[in-house]
Amino acid sequence: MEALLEVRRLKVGYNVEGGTLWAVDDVSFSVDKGEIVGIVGESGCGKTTLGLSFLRLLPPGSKLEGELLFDGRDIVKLSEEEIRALRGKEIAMVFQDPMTSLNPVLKIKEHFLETIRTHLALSEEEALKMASEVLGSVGIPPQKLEAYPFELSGGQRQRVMIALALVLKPKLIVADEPTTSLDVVVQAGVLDLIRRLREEFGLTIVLITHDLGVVAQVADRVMVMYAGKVVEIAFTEEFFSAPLHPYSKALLFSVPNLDLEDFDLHSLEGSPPDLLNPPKGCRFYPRCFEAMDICSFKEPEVFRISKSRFVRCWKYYG
Amino acid sequence: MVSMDSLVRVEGLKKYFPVRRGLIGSLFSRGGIFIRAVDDVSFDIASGETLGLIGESGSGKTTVGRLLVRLLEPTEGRIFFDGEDITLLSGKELRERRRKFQIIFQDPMASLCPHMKIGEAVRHPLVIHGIGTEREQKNKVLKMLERMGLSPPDAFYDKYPHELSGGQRQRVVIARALILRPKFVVADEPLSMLDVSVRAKLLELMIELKRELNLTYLFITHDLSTAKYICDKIAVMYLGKIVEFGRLRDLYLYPAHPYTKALLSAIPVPDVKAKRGEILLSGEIPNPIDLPSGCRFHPRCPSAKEECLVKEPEMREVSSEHWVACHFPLV
Ligand SMILES: Nc1ncnc2c1ncn2[C@@H]1O[C@H](COP(=O)(O)OP(=O)(O)OP(=O)(O)O)[C@@H](O)[C@H]1O
Ligand SMILES: Nc1ncnc2c1ncn2[C@@H]1O[C@H](COP(=O)(O)OP(=O)(O)OP(=O)(O)O)[C@@H](O)[C@H]1O
Ligand code: SF4
Ligand SMILES: [Mg+2]
Ligand SMILES: [Mg+2]
Repeated sequence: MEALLEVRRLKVGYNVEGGTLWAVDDVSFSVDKGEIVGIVGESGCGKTTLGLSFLRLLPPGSKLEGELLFDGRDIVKLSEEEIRALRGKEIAMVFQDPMTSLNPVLKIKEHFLETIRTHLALSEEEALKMASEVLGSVGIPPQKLEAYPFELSGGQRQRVMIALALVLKPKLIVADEPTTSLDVVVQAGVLDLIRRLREEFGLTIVLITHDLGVVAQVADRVMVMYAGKVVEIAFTEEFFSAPLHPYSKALLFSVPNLDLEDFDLHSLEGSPPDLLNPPKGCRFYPRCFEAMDICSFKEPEVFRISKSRFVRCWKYYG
Repeated sequence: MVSMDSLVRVEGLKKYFPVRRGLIGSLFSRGGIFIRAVDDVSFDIASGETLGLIGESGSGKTTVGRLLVRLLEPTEGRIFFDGEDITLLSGKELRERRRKFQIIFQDPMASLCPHMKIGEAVRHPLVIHGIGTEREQKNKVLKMLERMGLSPPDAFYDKYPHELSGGQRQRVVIARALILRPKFVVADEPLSMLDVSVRAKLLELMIELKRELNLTYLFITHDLSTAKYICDKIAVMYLGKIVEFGRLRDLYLYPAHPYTKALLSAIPVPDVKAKRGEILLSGEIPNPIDLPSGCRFHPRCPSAKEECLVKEPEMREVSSEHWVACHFPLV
């Protein structure tokens, strides 16, 4: 398989009071053409930051180091102009917070016109026809083109965001929590659409989500992040049947169920480390049930378990 | 569906929004067209009880929540809080009541002021209602942030909303709503941006407060497994109407409305090998401007018969405290 995206030793840092907060810290992985990779991890661990870096949409003053090879080109090194030509056309993003990424004073149709006509020379009528079609495929009636974002429900806004990302048929979509505001029936429809687009157009998707059920259903591989680091990469099936990293295990253990006899909630004790002053050893050490001495002072390396499986934990040393 | 000791009660609530049309639309029809976002909804929530509001995206759940806390004016209907009709309250009287009912918005970023440090945002309600000295207020806020897992709390206190992750912001909005120890909280998808572990922790906290303060919630969610842990009763909405209402257990085990059944069957489970007995709904999601005749669900309903095309079903009790609006209930 050919890689569409190759991330090598990527670091992303925000400028904050007291120094640089490395929200993504030495992350490496790759995504094949036509593949769906799910990214999961604790709230605040750097998933959105990683996604934003693929489009270089980081706030001014942030640091971006390492390599981001997309279709052979290094995104880190592209000029402002080159990256603008890429955004929306070749890589599109579905943002986590639809309300803030839609412009409140522009109607939905104006969002589509802008996205489409930045890259294609089409008449308004042609562009709106494209927009209605893609909106229809996510269950939004074309009348909503005339609405302003605040006139839509949460899930309608989210589907508008998905439609905006799909409309130019990009090669790669970074979808950040794309289905949080959708009921499960509509969600199933959107997931079907995603699978279909992958089959038909070889669409590649990086899917950031907290919904492990969604990951189990659509992702080919899973990548788990903890406090800015990748801690596990695995095929979806092996991940759910036998997670390796202690954090992955804790995460799967917390999944709520529908059993009406079982009302126990499981959460992980403690908090993630302060990213501004990360601990010396393993970042998960203070919360880890399987920790050993070495974990407290030496950061674990990434160990390769099989051709496709990686884990950052001392338990798998040697 | 009306009981005596209700804390919140709505009767015949309606909210119609005018629809904006393009040039072509306005050439063909004159006069207003409306979206019937909430169309004759009645229910009540007993003190200390949690009512889960679930249903299709766009069915009117957020609108119901905003009506309840008086952020929107109803087109018709009445809202009672603690026995008092608050439908028409305004000004100072409304402000005083506001301390008792809070809302956690679905869209955290849009509900936080971008120029206010998050610690100050959480402290703000205490300032407005003049509760405690500045020092006491700050301590309270720090404790609350800590309970939300925003740690170290003093570092988070001075951050601005744009410096937080989605789930961190969501927790700030929850903290702000709970800091006044309200009696009633509308929680609109409050945990949607949290990983399962943090979600479990906050659910625990919300359940704890429910016991500690006898807190009453309207819990709007798409996450039916999360709803299981906190909700006592469930109302299911479809296109502006409540189509089923009942105790959580009855409704989950014996869904009576075909839409509820489809909804429950489509929950994705974190197991790759899971067999999906998913009931697929055929047909387009109907347009709320141009509602189907008879039962609104009929174009997509697997059990629809002729009667459903012509007659709108009324709410009826299929078993004790289990109500459904369907001509052919499944139980
Ligand atoms: N603009 C910013 N300035 C400073 N810090 C930031 C900024 N954006 C994010 N952060 C911090 O960087 C870390 C990673 O944030 P990010 O949004 O990538 O997390 P996430 O994994 O997407 O979390 P969630 O699941 O809650 O959305 C967090 O600790 C957050 O507080
Ligand atoms: N201010 C408004 N002006 C016009 N229409 C509106 C407005 N607010 C909501 N609507 C419409 O009313 C309907 C119900 O919206 P609401 O936000 O209540 O849905 P919801 O059930 O919360 O959906 P979701 O699960 O997607 O958040 C939608 O069709 C929406 O487009
Ligand atoms: S390296 Fe040690 S502390 Fe870290 S996850 Fe593995 S066992 Fe736990
Ligand atoms: Mg995020
Ligand atoms: Mg809503």
